[in-house]
Formats: sequence, structure tokens, C-alpha cells
Amino acid sequence: MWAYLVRRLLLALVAISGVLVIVFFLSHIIPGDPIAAILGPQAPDYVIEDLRHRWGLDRPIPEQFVRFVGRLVRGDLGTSIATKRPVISDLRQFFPATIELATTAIILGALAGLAVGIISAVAHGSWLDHTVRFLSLIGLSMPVFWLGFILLLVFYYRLGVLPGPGQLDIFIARPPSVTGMILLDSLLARDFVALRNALGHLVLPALVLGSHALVGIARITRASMLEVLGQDYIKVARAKGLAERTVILRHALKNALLPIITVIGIYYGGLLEGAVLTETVFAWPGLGRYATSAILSQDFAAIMGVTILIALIFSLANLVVDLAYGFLNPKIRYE
Amino acid sequence: MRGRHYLALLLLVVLALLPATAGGAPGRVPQNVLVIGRIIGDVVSLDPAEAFELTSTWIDEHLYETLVEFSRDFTRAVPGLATSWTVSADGKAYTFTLRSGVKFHSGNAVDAKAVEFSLRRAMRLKLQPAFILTGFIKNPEDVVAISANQVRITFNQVMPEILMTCVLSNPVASAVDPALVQKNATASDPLANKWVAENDAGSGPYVLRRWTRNAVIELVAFDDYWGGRPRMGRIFVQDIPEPTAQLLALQRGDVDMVTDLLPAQFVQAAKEAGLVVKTSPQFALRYLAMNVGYEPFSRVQVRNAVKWAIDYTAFRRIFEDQIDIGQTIVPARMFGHLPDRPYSKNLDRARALMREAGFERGFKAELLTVPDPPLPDIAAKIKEDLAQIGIEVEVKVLRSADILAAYRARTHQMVIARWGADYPDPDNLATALADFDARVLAYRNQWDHPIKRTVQQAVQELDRAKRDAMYRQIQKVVLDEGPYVIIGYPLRLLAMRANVKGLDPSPLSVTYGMWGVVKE
Amino acid sequence: MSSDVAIARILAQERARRQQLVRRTLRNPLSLAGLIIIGLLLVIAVIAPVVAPSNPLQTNIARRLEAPSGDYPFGTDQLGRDVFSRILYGARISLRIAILTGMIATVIGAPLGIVSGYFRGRVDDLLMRLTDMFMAFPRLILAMAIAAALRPTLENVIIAISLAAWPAYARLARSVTLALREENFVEAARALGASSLRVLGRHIFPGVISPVVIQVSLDMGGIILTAAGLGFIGFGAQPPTPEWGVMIAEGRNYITSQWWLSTFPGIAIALVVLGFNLLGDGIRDVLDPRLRGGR
Repeated sequence: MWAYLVRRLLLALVAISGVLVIVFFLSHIIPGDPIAAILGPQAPDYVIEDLRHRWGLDRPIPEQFVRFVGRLVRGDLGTSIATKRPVISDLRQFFPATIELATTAIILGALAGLAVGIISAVAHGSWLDHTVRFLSLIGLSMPVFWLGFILLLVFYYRLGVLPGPGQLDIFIARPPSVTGMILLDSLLARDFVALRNALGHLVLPALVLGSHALVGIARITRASMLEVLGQDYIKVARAKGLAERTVILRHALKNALLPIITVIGIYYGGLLEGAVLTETVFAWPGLGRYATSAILSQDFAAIMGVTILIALIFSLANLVVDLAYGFLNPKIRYE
Repeated sequence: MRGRHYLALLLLVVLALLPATAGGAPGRVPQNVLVIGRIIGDVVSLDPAEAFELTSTWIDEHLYETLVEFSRDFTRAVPGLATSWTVSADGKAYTFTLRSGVKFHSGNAVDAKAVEFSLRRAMRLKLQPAFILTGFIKNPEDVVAISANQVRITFNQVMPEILMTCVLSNPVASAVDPALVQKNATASDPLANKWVAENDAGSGPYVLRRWTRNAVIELVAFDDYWGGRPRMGRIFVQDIPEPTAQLLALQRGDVDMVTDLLPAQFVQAAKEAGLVVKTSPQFALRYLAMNVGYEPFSRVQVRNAVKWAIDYTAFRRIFEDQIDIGQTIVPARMFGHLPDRPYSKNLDRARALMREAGFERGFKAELLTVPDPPLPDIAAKIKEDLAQIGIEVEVKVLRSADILAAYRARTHQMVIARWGADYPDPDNLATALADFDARVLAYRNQWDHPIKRTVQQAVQELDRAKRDAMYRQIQKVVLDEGPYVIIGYPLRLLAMRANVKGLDPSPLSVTYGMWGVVKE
Repeated sequence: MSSDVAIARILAQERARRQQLVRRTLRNPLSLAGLIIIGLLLVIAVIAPVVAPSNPLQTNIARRLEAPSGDYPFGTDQLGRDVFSRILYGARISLRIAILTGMIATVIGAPLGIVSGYFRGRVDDLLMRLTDMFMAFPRLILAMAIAAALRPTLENVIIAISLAAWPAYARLARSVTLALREENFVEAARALGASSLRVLGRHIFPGVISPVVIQVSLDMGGIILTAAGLGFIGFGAQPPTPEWGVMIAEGRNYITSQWWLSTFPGIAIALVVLGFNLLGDGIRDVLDPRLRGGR
């Protein structure tokens, strides 16, 4: 078990280093000029040259890479050209917002996905099965940014039942930052006004983001439930005269849960991807927007910082899923 | 039994959400509060010695003050922190007398020492906007407090008042509270740039209360402002990165004003009851540049064929009339503007010119543009127009990082770009677009024309009529031979709720202070 | 010789299996619907020049931003171009992106996976670490970085998504190869002295290619969405190309006033992706025996 863990961690480390090398050279060989982009078309050439020099961008790329690695092993992610702040403090600010959004999205997606999957499995082959799956597939098929706008248009603009873009109404003071996540912070501060408002702001982006996880989770739930429902012990349970609901929820679902958890874990990591688009539409000050603007302005240090963080989360999510699998299913042995 | 519990829990969650939806419903913004929806992702630093982006300099205009400001017609200086000034006999040294009783937000006095400290600090920090000062003031020591309320600044050249105003009304020349800087200085950052970047050390009509990156900037009226406390007690600048979301928020009444709508959205807002769109001129140019270093464009006939092939009337439609028409490089309403508009779509002429240049069979060219609407549409239209004279245009919509790199490296063939006047004088545009030696746009497009001598002389000409004639001549030459198609002079638009009054934007860069705003 | 017989038998089995798969898939109404949608897309892509009422690039400034009417069934856009014609032509582009991306990703992924699974050892280790690298990163963000580096054009979007997508197919090809490698007929062929190349080409490749192609077609919807997402953030196709994602991105500026600009391309994308998803869901049902179970 420990050997396995160590091996997996090493492999993840190798993979992440590889990603770093690729992304570093990818972002540096292209001809864009981040300094010129930040200073705009009207800054005199000598100002730009001076700044390029100060940021060390006038040095050969391999040398820049060595410097980058040198800083990295000392735990320094460098300074963002665009925000002029250490990348680490940028990440510390934007990451919690994304975690908050992604976690809410996965909770919504998982709850809805489980419901859809169970209904589909129980009503297997019926019109209900087809309808529910069809509806969830429609959800999966819509471009997230388009769906986001349409939901904003309907629920915020036309109906006015949900708040608009952003994390919090501006008149509501942000609770003191402990975790960086507004929901947790407002709970800690017992600020229920902020909590409610933040929840309202979270609904639409989380729905949009969660809709993609929903279908995958529903699909695996259905499959897994179908398999379990065909087992003998379910028949026995039914024969004992247990209520159908008890059979399905307590016996079948419990046993079908394993692959479902795996998929939930995988989708959780994958939500970072959807966050890029969702955060833009909903003005969510998170990692996705930071990544997009970093790529747009060719902000090297920020690009590398985001890369490291995302690759870490991705790898960790996969590892945790595999380990959870092992705990839940003692039949699996790690070699 | 267990099921009931789950149900109860679910109900609880739903209940928790319900009031949230009610609370999020649009409440109108209170009377003494102004909420502005804007893209504020460009704000890097609020330190006036560092601020260089549109939003940060705009915010700094509320927090900080400079010695002088421009008069409304941009012909002279009007008092700011200084109430009066005198010029030395050689025209190089200015002595300013400060307004008495002006206080920083901290309560400290804005005295001559503070002004000396602030200007020297900006010059020593040498951040992006510092060149505006260091280009005209040789050493930090050339700024001297000669008494408690008098400062003398010695420039490195003869400074007409207008040029002095250009330099000293820039936010980089703001007064920064020396006591706060000293208090927050560290060994590695003795001028407290890091602290001032995120905090307030000013004396302006508003005080910075908070700035959360990519979220909100909150300003509060400064009670002891010498010009009187502004009417709007609080100003929120809410980050709304999507123009469409800005429009929705304005329509809902969640914000009072938005700044970044797209042309079509301004048109829509203008039609709606309860909304008003304020249009004001800007000293700016939108142009198409042809790189003379690219073989076909080295022929003046080809450049002029392009000018004759383009349908100028379409530009105005695509910009939804939010652009002033003009074909010369000095914008309308600016001193020296030449109102000539010789070009219109004339394919026969254009084709004749192509033949004359030996390009009757046309050629291929790449056209670069940033993705900001409606520029890709302008590019698509130009592509269609030029196809009619055999020029096969490939449109490339790129990040500004890519475009500026290509433009600066002079590897582009055609590019759609913008130039906003740094100061309200035709010299700024003439130098950029016609003086090859200035290494700006004429240089980037490799257009080296003897007219540059006239540009260099015009700035020193003191006779107004002669100067006017020189700029007209420069514009005529650029019009007849230059590598630019002037698309027009873009207007500034702001959309707001109808009850917002008292806003008076200036045509220069971003200046539209909120201190005069009232809500009815 | 005997191995050829074995191959023939395998291929016949394979064909029968495929036919069964097709039959089962078609019996499911949802996947049939998906198939019909994709069929329609194909037809539209082919006959777009014939049925489109006007040139999708032809601007007409005098008639810009017109609401849907008899002249323009889907209205006109900000340059007066016919949205309906642009949607029809857009079908070609989406299809081209989906097919080319699928092909490139297969061409890169399948051989690498086969080689990796067949030879194992060092090669396998190396290739798998390489796929780890690519898979340690969300696909859209990787494609964004690549598209930005290559400069945005339609071709580069295809390359970017392919580069981000191939590792999944390499993994799949590898696992199928690992299984096939142990099959009797492959062992036999090797025992008879067939060269590695021959074994790979004649025996392994045919077995690997169909699951990979099925997987790729399942992912087509996702590929189209990724391309649209790239278009939305500005790393996609270039104007005036009538690519649906770019059309949504342009049209979103008019969403409150000229709803037709982004609504129609949005529906077009959703419909096509839905087609692929419906079909994919059906095929998955058939392939995964667990899904067929029941009481």
C-alpha cells in the first residue's frame, strides 16, 4: 500500500514536471510580447526594453528556464507580469473561489445525477428512462457559455429571482477572509446575510458547471444500479417483502456506489475545465479567469503557476479516487 | 423513517436558498451611492507612480491631485493643488504656490515638502509612467520645495505652458502622503510602492475604502476635501467582465452606469426608457496601417488604391455611428485639424492605381486585429472591399500581445489599431504617425518621409497661425502618401440610468471624474 | 497459414459483432434519433452550396441586424450576412473539425498505443509517462495553451484539440493491444515466425482500430464543444469564417437585442452535439453488458 502510494506520487511528479517543461517552452517560443501588451501600443520603445530587461525577458529562453526551476525549488513561483504580485498570492486569492464553485457544482451534479441515474435504472427501458436521459443529454450538449447567458437572461434579467454576476452583492460586506471561500467565511463569522446572498450568487454558475458532471454521474449510476439490481440478494430482499424504496436506496444504491464515487472524483477534477468558461460568463473571480487572462497576456509566471496548481489538483484527484476505491473495495490490492 | 430526515434536510437547504433569491432581487441603488459596472481586470496598481492602465489612472484621478489641470478647451492650465505659478525668464523653471489648508486623507497637510517628495519618489521608482516626468525633468533634485508653500520645478527644455500642463497634470505627478509612505516603507521597498499600490495616500475628493482584485473597488467621499465634499457619498466600481452582463445589470437597476458596452448594446440602451447614453468626443484615432516594408505597400499607388477601394460609409454603420468621420490624422475638434475627406469608394480609380503600380493581378496580404468588437467586422468588411481590386486579405484576430509584438518588430503587413492622444496637441499625433525618427508608428510602418522635418519644427513654432498651417501641411502629405487609412475618430460612450446627472467627460484619455455626479 | 485462417475467423466474428452492434443501436429510439441528426448534418454539409440562399460571406450593410423574415429565415448579422446560410456552411466547418480532429488523434494515439502495448518494457514506460503528462491537465486548458502558441486559425484549433486528445486513445489502443497480444492466434502467428510488423499490421491493428474509432466518435460531441469554447475565448476560427462557436461569441454581444444571432448557432451546436451524445449513449449501452442487465 505505501509502496504503491510512493510510486504513484513519484509518477505524478514526473508527469507534472513534464507538463511544466512543455508549457514553459510552449509559452516562451511564441513571438508575443507580454510587456508590450501590458504597456499598450503607445509606450516608448526604451520603456519597454527597460522593463523587458528588469523582468529578465531579454535573456535566452533556456537561461530563463533554469532561473524558473531555480526559483521553483525554493518554493518561489515568481511574480506575475500582469498583476505585479507574487503568483502565489494571486493563486491564494483566486483558487478558493474556484474550489467553492466547483464543490457546489459537483454536489448539485452528483445529487441530480444520482437521482436521474436511479430513476433511469429503476424505470429501465421505459419512457421515463428515455425522457430523463434525453433531458440530461440535452443539458450536456449545450455550450456552457451559451447556457450561462440564457440562464442569466431568464432568471436574473427577466424573472429577477436570482442575483446577477459576481460572488456577492456589492452592498454586502465580505466576511473576513479565513478560508477565502465566502460560504465558509460567512459561516465562521455567523454572517447569515452574506451567506444567503453568496448562495444565491452561486446557484446559476454552479448549475451550469454541474450540468456536465450530471450526465456522466447519471450514466454510471444507471449502469451500476442496473448491475446491482440484477443480483440475487436484491431479489432476496424483495422476496422478504421489504419496501421497494428501502430495497433500492439501502441495498442496491449502497452496493452500486463504488464506481459512482470514482466518476464523481474524476468529474470533480474535470470541473476546472468548465470553470474557465463559466467564470467568464458569471464574473467569478476564480482560477479559470486567471488562467485565461494569463494566456491572453502571455503572463509567463502566472501561466506556470496555474499549470502547476491545476496539474497538482488533477493528479491528486485521480490518486484520491484510486485510494478511495481501495478502501471501499477491500478486494483490490495495490501492488 | 430515515427517509424523512433526508427530506427534512433537503427542505432546509431549499429554505436557506429561498430568501437568498429574494434578497438578490434588484433593489435600487441608494440615492447617495453610485455603482459603476466596468471591466476592472486591468488594474495592476493604484500607486500613481505606477498606474498606467485605463482603470487605474481613472481611479487615481479620484484619489489623488496634481499641481495643475487642463482648462476645458485644452488651451491653458488651471489651478489644482497650486493656485498660481510663475515662469523663469529662460522659460525652463516654474515656481508654484500651493493652495493653503489642503489636507491628505490622513489629515496631514499637503505642503511643498510633500509635493517635492512625491515627484522625486515617482522619478526614483522609475516605473512605467515615470518617463512622462523624466523625459522633461533631468534629476529628481530639480524639484525643490523653496518654502513651506512654494515648489520650483526646473525642466530640461523650454516649456510652453501647454506642455508643462501635459506633464504635471498626469496622475504620475500626483501628491502622495510622505508620512504614510515612510510609515509603510520596508528595507527592500523604501518608497513603499507595494503598500501604495493597494492603499490610499492621496488628497483627492474620494478615499479608497477597499479594492478586491477582479471584484470591486469602493470609494468614499472625503469629508475635508478643499473643493467641498462630493455629492455621491460612496462609489462602487463593480467588476463585470462581460459587456452583456453589464447591460443586464444596468437594465435591472443593479448598477447606475456602465462603461464597456459594445456598440450595438449602446444603441439598445439608448432606446430604453429610464436609460441614457452619453456620447462625447475623444482625441483618438482608429486606423488601418500598411507596412511599407511589405513589397506591394512600398508603392504609393498601391497604398492609395487601398484608400480608394474602401467603403468608408460602412465603417460608420458597423460602429453604430459611434465614431466621428474623418480621414486626416489629427482628430476633429483638436487644434490644427484638417477636415479634408478626399477618399470614397471608387473601384475604377483604385484598379487604375493598381495597374499603374504593376499589381493589376493583385497580391496577398495579412491583416491583424484584436478581437474587440466591432474590429473583426471592420476587418471582414475591408477584406471584402480589397478583394474587389485583387488584394486577397487574410484576417488574423490575435491577442494584443501577439499584435504588438509583430507591430513593434515590423513584421506585420496590415494592422487595425488605435491611437489615443497622450496630450491634447496635434504634435502628439503628428510625431507618432509622421515622424520616422520618433520610432513610433511611422517607424513601425517603415514610412520615412521628409515631412518629418516639418513635424520636428512645428512643435517649437510659437506663432499659432504658422503652427496651424504646418500641421495642415503634414496632414495633407499623410493623406496623399501615407501608409494609413483613417477609419475615424471613435467616440466615448457611457450608458447610465436616467437619474444620473452631472457627468462631463473630457476628450482626453479617460478623464471623467465622478465628483460632479448627482442622482435625482 | 493457419494464422490467416484464424484471422479470417476473427474478422468474420468481428463483422458479425459489428452488425449486431449496429442492429442493437438502431433498436434504441434515442440512438436512432442521434443517428438521424448526424445524418442530417452530413447531408447539410454536403449540399450547403446548393441549398444556402446566399453566400455566407456576402455582407450587406444596408440590411444588417434584420430579424428573421421571409427574405432571411434566421435574420441577418451585424454585417448583413444571412445567418441561415452561415449556419448551413457552419455545418461543414464543425464536421471538418470533428472528423479531422478525430482522425489526427487516432493517427497519433492508436499506433503509439499499439507499439506501447505490444512491445511493453521501456517503450511502454516512456509512452505511458508521456500520456500521463498530457492527461495531468484538463483538455480545454491544454488546447487553449497550444492554440495560443500556434496562433488561432481553424487548422491550429484542429491541431490543438488533437494534441490534447490523443493520449486517451493511446491508452485505449494499448489496453486492447495488451489483451490481443495474449490471444492464441497472435501467439501462433509469432510462433510461426511472422515479423513484428506483420503481426502488428495484420493481427493487432484490425482489432484495435474499431474500439478506438468507436471511442473517437463518442467524443465527437465533446470535440465540437471544445472547439466552440476555444472560439468563445478567442482562440478559435477566424472571422469571417462561419464557425458556430465564433458566431455565438459574436452574437452574444447582441443577445438582449438581436436574439437570433447567437440563438441559432447555439441551437445548431446543441443539436449536433446532442446527436453525437445520443448515438454515443446508445453505443455505450450496447457495448457495456452491465447496462443491458435488468431484473
